[in-house]
Formats: sequence, C-alpha cells, structure tokens
Amino acid sequence: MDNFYTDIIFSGSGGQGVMLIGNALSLAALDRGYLVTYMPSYGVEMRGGAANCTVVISTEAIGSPVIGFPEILVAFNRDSFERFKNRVKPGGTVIVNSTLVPDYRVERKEVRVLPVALNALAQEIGDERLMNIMGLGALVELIAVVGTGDIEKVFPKVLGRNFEKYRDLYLKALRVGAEEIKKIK
Amino acid sequence: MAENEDKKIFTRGNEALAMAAIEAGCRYYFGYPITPQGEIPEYLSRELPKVGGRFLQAESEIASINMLLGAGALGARVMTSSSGPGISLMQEGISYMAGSEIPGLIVNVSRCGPGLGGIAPSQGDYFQATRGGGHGDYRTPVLAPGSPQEMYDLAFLAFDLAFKYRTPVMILADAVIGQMKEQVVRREPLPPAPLPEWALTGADGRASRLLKSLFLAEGELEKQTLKQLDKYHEIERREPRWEEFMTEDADFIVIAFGIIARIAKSSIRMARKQGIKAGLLRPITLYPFPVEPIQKLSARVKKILVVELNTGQMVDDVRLSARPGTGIELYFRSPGAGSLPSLEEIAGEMERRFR
Amino acid sequence: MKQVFSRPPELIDIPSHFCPGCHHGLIHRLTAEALNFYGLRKKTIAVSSVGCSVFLYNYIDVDTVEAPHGRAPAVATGVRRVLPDRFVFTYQGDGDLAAIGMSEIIHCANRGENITVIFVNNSIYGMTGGQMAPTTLLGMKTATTPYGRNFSNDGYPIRMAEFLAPLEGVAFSARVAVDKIANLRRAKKILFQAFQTQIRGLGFSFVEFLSACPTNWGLSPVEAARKVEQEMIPYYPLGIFKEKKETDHL
Repeated sequence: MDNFYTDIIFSGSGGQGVMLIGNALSLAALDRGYLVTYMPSYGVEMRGGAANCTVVISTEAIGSPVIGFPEILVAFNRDSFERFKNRVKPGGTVIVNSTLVPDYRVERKEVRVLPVALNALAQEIGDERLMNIMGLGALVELIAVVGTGDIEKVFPKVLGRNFEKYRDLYLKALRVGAEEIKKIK
Repeated sequence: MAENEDKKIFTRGNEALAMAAIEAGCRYYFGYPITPQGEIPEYLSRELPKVGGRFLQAESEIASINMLLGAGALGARVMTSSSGPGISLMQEGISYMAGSEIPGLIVNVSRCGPGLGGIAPSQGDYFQATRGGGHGDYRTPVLAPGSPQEMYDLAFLAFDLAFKYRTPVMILADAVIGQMKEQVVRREPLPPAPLPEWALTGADGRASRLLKSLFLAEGELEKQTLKQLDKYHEIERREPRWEEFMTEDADFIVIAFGIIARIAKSSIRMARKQGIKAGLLRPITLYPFPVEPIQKLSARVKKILVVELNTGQMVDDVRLSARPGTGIELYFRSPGAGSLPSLEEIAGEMERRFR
Repeated sequence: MKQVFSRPPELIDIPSHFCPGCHHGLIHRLTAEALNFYGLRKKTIAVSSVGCSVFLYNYIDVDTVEAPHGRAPAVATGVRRVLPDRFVFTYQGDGDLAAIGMSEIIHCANRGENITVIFVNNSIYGMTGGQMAPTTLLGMKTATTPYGRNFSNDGYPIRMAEFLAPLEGVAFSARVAVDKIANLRRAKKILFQAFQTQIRGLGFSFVEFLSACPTNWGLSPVEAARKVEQEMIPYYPLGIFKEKKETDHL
C-alpha cells in the first residue's frame, strides 16, 4: 500500500447523523487495511446542539486523533461551516451542504469548496434524513480511499436493522452523493 | 475466522477499558457520573449483569470508593472510574485502601482543573496520582495508557498488580484516550482468580480476619509502614514499564506520556525527516517511574525535552532520574479547550531546541 | 447445676478499655448475644467505623473491615453486593453517622440495603475529647460549645431513628437505651428484631442506642446513666418507628 494520510472533520448539528457516517467511514477504511482513529465531540459540546467528529486515515501510526486543521471538512449546517471553514488546511477541501448554507463562501483561495445540496437531493430520492449518507457518498468519492462498496459492507454494523429495511434507499443516497462530487470535482 | 474477527474491534478507549475489566475478572463496579468517562459506567451497567456481576451508581465518589473498599475487602475484583473532581473526593478512600492493603482499580479519565476546570484532556493530575494524593505515607501504582489498545491491556495489568501487591492501582488516562476510537485486539478472558487468603468471607471454621489501617500500639504503625515500604521497593524494582521509540541512535530524547507521547511520536518522525535524530521515551507506569532507562539515556543523549499537558509535573521525576548535568527542558501546554498541541507544534519545539 | 449465664464466645474475653460507665461494652455484649443466638459468626462481616466505636473488632470475634469516618454504610454496601448471603452490620457513633456520614447513611437506607446499622448515640464526640456532636442536646456544654449548644448557631439535635424511618428502603428503625435493666432487656429484644429483619431479607434495619459518656460529660457512671434517663430520653424517645412485616418491593 502506498503511503497515505488524510483527516476529515464531519460537522453538523445533533440528529444529522454526523457520528454515524464518521463511524461508517472508519470501519470501511479499517477493512481496507488502513490505520484509523475516530474522535467524537463530547461533553458540553454535545449538549450545545453541535456535533462533530474527526476521522484520521493513514498507512502510518497515527499521532493525534484530534485535528485542529483538517485536510477535509464536511459541513452539514451553517454553524459548523462557519466554525470550521477557516481551519481547513491550505490545499484542503470543504464539502458544504448548500441546501442549508446557500451563500457558502470561503475567502481563502487555496481552499476548494464543493457544494452539494444534500437536503434537497435527499428529499428528491425520498427522505431528507438520508442527507448524511449522501454526504458520506460525496466524501468517499472525493478521497477515493474506500469505495461505496466498502461502505455498503459496514452499513449493517452501523445502521443495524434499518439497513435491511431501507437498503435500496441508503445505497441510492450513497451513489447520488458520489455522483454529485464526480460532476463538480 | 469469525472468532478471530471478534477479537479485533473498533472501539472507544473508555469502552475498551470497561470490556477488559470484565475479561480480567472484574464483576463489581461502583461509581458516580462525570464527563469524560461516562462510557465506562454505561458499558458496565449493561454488561456486568450479563456475567453475574453487579453495577451500582453511588450517591457520590466518596461513597463509590468506600463501596470499592468494602467489596475489595472480600477479595473481589472491583473498580470505579471518574475524572479529576471525583478523584479528589476519592482520595480519602484510596488512602484507607492503601493502608488496609485492599486491592481495587481506580480509573481517572482526567480532565482539566483546578476546580471545575474543563472537560478537555489534561495531564494535570500527575502529581495527585503519583504522589499518593490522599493523606499518609503510601504509593499507588499508576498506569498511563497511550491508546484504546492500552486502555484495554492495562486494565488486565492493573488487576494483576492490585492483587499481587495488595494495593489500589490507578489508571491515569485522559479525555482523548478515553473518547477516541481505534482498533483494539482482544485477548482471551482470564479464568476466575482464586480467592486470596486474606479475604473476608465470614469466619467459618477459622479465626476471624480483620482489615484495617489503624495501628495505635507503640511501634505497630512503623512496622506496618516499613512492611509496605518493602512492597513499594519491590514494585519500583520489578514493575516499571515504558516504551522506547527510535532511541537507539537518538541524540535527543523526548519524554512524554499518554496522549502527548502519541502526538510526539508523529513529531519525531517529522523531525527525523528534517535530519534531527530524536527518539521518544514514554513512561507507561508513572509510579513506578522508569528511572533506569532515563538514567541510561541521559548519559548518552545531548538533550532531553519533556513535553506535558500541564505546567510541568512529570519533569520533576525526569530530573530526579536523569544523570546530574543532563540538559532537561520542558515544553508544556496548559490544559484547556483547544490547548492540545499539534504534532507540528511539538516538532517545531524540537527543531528549535535540538537543532 | 444448670448454667444460666455465660459469655457468648463471639465476645472476646479481654479486659475492656472503655471508660467506666461507658455503654459501648453493654452494646457489644448485646451484639455478641444476638450473633450467638442466630448462629451468625461464620457468616458475618462487620464494618467498624471511626471514633470510640472503631474498637468493635477488639471485642467481637467476626470478620471485620474498618471504614473511613462516616463511610461504613458505603463499605457495607460494597460487601453486600459481593456476598449477598452474608450477615452484614455496621457499628457507628453519632459523629460518624449523623455528621460526616449523613450522606452515606441516608443513601444506604434509601437503597434498602439489607444490612443492620447499630448506631451509638452518646451525644458527644468521645474519642476526640468531648466536642459537640450533631446529637448534642441544646444547652449542653461541650469542648466546642463552652456556652452550651445554641440552636441559632449550631442547629438542633438530630433524631436519626425518626429521620430515617419514613424512607421506603427502611424496614426497621428503633431507638433503645441501656441505662437500666428494663431498658436493657427491651434493647436486647429490639436488636434481635433488627437482626431478624436482615435474616428475613426485609431490608435496612437501624437501631439507635442512647449511650452514656461519663468521661466527656464530666459525670460519674451513675450520674451519666441518670442523664440518659432524665435528659436524653425526653428528647430522644424510645420506641420502634418503623417495622415492616414483609417485603414490599414494587
């Protein structure tokens, strides 16, 4: 395996399923043989309505699971976008939910912004709540470390019985997210 | 194959520790809720009843530690967990357990102090943990995990040491190690341990037993304390544990524990790429402190940099361990939200001090 | 000739170190008799406390663990959780139980821990030299209330047996005295009842003994016993305040 390192902050508000997709990505990367750390927000932050988690994927032993300046930010709402957008490393990428942040703007030229209308697209395929899965699909397409097939394999672990019930919907959300990124990246 | 798969899990440090405690034979937990260690009691309240154990949420940390004392007096493998403020409240009980030679595991997933401080990771409880914390002349073995895997492994070691030396043992973790998830490889659960010969069970067909820390008669306490001192000396001789990373050819050594050591490892890789021959010594046992390896390394390296997430506590032990005249510097971040140093930051310090 | 009186073997045959006229010895004796009567020695784990009461283990021949000041009910809880079939009792003084250990006793009682608490109330700190206890009577002079206990500064004496009785977890709560033969006899009967409460698994049982402390009260043994009758009993009435006949777990 070639040397590889990336770190991602998933951020949004409680209930948007931020932790869930962080876990799914972690498990899929582990299955692919990478070293992975996952660090959730906890305590006071949890009760402020904000939720975020950091996933580090690497071929070398991982030092800190806490990342001040991530390579990639996935922001599901305005608060989290505003909070983290200026911390993204030069050369880094922001995937922003343009349904909830239509006027997204990152002043720094060296940061790439990829808008995906997550809520709107999720609604189109049948359930707005799938926006997190769609966001994960977008991220997976961007980093190209694991495929949507790897994510599919870990879905039963993170989604439980819901996955069997709504399998097609979940997979569709994942695919649509990935396609959106393909279009714009 | 499936069985093998079950041995590899992706889990949080706190959960890894709780899981290991059960696998190491712990069947009783007493504790009081506090952030950032909530996953430990949550896990154990769910899992202990399944293996015939008991979980009890106490009315305070004071009550928790004394429940630990009572259960430990029966020879059972027992534990509690808390964080800074709660550990302060437990000091009385820990002192009594040490004095009465009652084993038990106390986990401190530490946060910032003094006072209510904050819930960010901290190493500010180093003095409290390694210098006794409670009143009187005693020591407590202190283990400092640097990953979820070590949260798991050191829980086994903690119970080993607690029963081998009849002493309370502390695991001093921090909020990041407790909260982060990483792959953990599990081992076979231990078979039930035989009941120790000092355990209280009811004086059935034997003389009654007494576990106490009060020794009033002339000469009695001194004798007891010296007996305990022998035990501490044995612990200091036999039980130091540490990790060395890239020290073989190192000109400079970083000494750090827990989450900071983890980050410093990456910094050392970075510094090596810049041509700085640095290595890391990570104490795994904070008491007993790994005096010998530090002494040896200090004889041959140009400088030692101690990095801590407090304003400088372990550096005292490093100074006591290193050869006189060794250049020892301290880089610290005062714990609080946002003060966990990045690997670039520590690498920068190395560059500045080692170049 | 028929033997009608003997020392129960649970009571260790050594000279008492307690002050003349102190009631601890009598209460130890009753405890030993109850342990003997129910054949409990081999399955008992006692929890001693801090104060004059700590020396329980010098007199009662059972497995014993010493608790920090006030924490005996928490220690007993730990014991109870590991070995639920054992007989567990704590032996605590008033400073231990009603001051520093108030939180532990209330929560232990409220959990309905199936243990027996023997509470020795002599209204003063004995071992530390006669300071005010939470149970010191109003107006009573102690080493730290040289002008007498004053409610506006020191609050009121606490009636523990009545205080604990209403808690759901409490199966038995009573107050007794050992100042004269009639009270001693009744105390024995009530202590036996408390032990039986635990044996039957009914829940938390509590017996408060009014006790004399001649040394710290500055009285002779006879005067001290009289003080129990004339000053303590009027404020701390004897009797049973709670008596569950069967378990009533919901």
